[in-house]
Amino acid sequence: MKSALGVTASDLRLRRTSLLMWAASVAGLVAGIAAIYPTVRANPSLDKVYGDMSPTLQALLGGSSLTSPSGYLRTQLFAFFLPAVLLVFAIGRGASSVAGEEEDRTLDLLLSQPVARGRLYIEKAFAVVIGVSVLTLACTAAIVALRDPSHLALPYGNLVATCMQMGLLCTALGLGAQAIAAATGHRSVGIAATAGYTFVSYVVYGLSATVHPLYDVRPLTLWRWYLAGDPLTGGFDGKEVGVLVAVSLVTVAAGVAAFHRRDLHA
Amino acid sequence: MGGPGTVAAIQARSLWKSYGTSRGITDIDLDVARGEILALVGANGAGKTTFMRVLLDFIRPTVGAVTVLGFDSVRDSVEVRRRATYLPGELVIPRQLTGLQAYDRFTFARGEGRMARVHALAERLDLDLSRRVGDLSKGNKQKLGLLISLAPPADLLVLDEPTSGLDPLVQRIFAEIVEERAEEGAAVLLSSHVMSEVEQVARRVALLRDGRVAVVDDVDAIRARSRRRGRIRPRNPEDLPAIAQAIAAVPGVADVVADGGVVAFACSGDMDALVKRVADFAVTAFDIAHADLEDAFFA
Repeated sequence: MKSALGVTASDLRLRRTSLLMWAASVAGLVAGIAAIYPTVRANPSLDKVYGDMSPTLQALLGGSSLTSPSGYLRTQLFAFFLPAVLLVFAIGRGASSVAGEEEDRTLDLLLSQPVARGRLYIEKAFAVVIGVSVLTLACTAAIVALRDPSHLALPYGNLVATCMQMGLLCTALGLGAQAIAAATGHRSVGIAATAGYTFVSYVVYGLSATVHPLYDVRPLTLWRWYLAGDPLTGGFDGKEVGVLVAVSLVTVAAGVAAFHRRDLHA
Repeated sequence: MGGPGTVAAIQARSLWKSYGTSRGITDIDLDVARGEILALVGANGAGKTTFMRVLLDFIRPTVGAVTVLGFDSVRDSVEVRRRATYLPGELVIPRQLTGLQAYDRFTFARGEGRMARVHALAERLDLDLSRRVGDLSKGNKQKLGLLISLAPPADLLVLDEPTSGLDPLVQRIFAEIVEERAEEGAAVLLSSHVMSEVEQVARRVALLRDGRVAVVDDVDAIRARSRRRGRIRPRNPEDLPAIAQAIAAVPGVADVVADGGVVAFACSGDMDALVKRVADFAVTAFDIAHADLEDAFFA
C-alpha cells in the first residue's frame, strides 16, 4: 500500500541530501579522532593532563586517562563531544518535524489528507528515529573500521554497544523535542526545553560522581542510562537500553496525546 | 454514522469558535447541499478561514457542531478528510520539491492510480510539474495548489482564496473546473475577501462579518438588486443640469451629481426607463460599471 508510512517516506526524501551530508560529516569526525589515537597512545605524559584534574572535572569530562583506548574514546568522543553533535541533529530534526511544518504553514495541507493526527505524528517520529539511526550507523561504521588500524584495542561488541546507547540517548531527546514542540506549536520551545534539559542533566550527571546529594537524582538524567554502565568496557546493558527505549516510547505517546488535543495554528 | 445518500455536504449548527480575542466565529448556522457552489465572502478576519479549518478538524469548535456528508468534524475527522480536499489560503509548499513530488507529498493518502487525471488537469492549467516549486511564480504555485485540491476525487472541495494570484484567464479555467466538479455532484465551498472574484463561480454567497453570517443569498438575486455606478458625458456641457434632472426622476436612480462635464449616478433594477430618458440628449459617453454586489448585500 502506497499510503503506509507515506509521511515517513516523504519526510526522508525531502531531507535526503541533508541527512547524507550529516552522516558523512559525523563519520569523518569519528574517523579523524580515531586516527589520532596512535599518536596519543605513544605519549604517556598526556595522561597527566587528565590525571592532574580534580575528580569533579574528570567526571564532567568523562575520565582520568587519555591514553588507554577506552579513556581516549570516552573523553574525546563518547562522553560529550559526539553525542553533542548528534543531539544538534536529533533535537533540531525532532523540533521541526511537526512544529516546523506548523510554523512554516505546510501542516494544514499535509493534514488535509485522510490521515489521523496521531498517525502523522508517529510517522514523523519514525522519520526522526531513522535519521538518528543513520547517523549512529555512520559513527559505528567509522569506529569499527578504524579499530585495528588505530590500535583501539576494545571488543567490537563494546564499540557497537556504545554507539547504540548513544544513538538511543539522542533518539529519546530528539523525540522529546518533537513532543514539546508539537505540544506548543513552536519549534523554539522544543529546542530550548530539550537542550536546556540535556545540558543541565549532563552537569548534574557529571557532578553526581563527587557531589553526593546529586547521586540520588542521577536516574532522572538520561546520561546515566547511557554512560553509567560504561559500555566501552562493560558492553551492552539490557536494562539501560530498556530505559532509553521506554523513555522514547513514553515521549511519543505523550506527544501524540498533546498534539491530538490542540488547535493548530493557521 | 453519516455516509452517503441525501445528507447535506455541510451542515453547521450553532457553531462557535472563540480564541479569547476578537477573531473567531460566532453562532454560525449554514447548510451547503451536494452539487452546490457556495462562496464565503468577508473582510480579512471575518471568520472564513476559521470556518474552513473547523470543517477539517485543524481547530475544534468551542460550541456547536458541523457535519460533512453526515460525518462529525471532530469525531469522524479522518472520514471527513477522506471525502474533502482543501486548498489553504496561505499556500506554502517546500521549495525543493518538484510539482509532481509536491503533489505526491500532499495526496499520498488519497489512494493511487489517477495520474492521467492529474496530468490532464496540469495541462489544462498550463502547469509544468517537473519544475521545482522554488522556481515557480506566485501564480504557478497557486495552480499547483489548485491541482492538489482539485485533482483527487472528492465530494467536497474546501478552497480558501482559490483565485488569489491567478490571472483572469486561469481564473476562468478554474471556474470551469469547479463547475464540472459541481456537476459531478461535489459540493464546493470557496472564500474570497472580494465579491467580484467569486460571483462568476458561486451560485450562492454567504457574507461573513465579525465571525457571523450576516446574509446568505443567491448570486442572481443579489445581482438583481445591486446598484451600478454610471456616468454620462453630454456633447453640450450646457445639457448637464437637464440630464441630471431628467434621470433623477427615473425610478431606481440615485446619488445624481453633475460635475466636471459628466453626470454621475447610481442605479439598480430595470435599465429601460433610464436608457430611454438619456436618448433625448446628445451624449459622447454613457458608461455603466459592473454591478458592485458587495453593496447589494445591504440593499
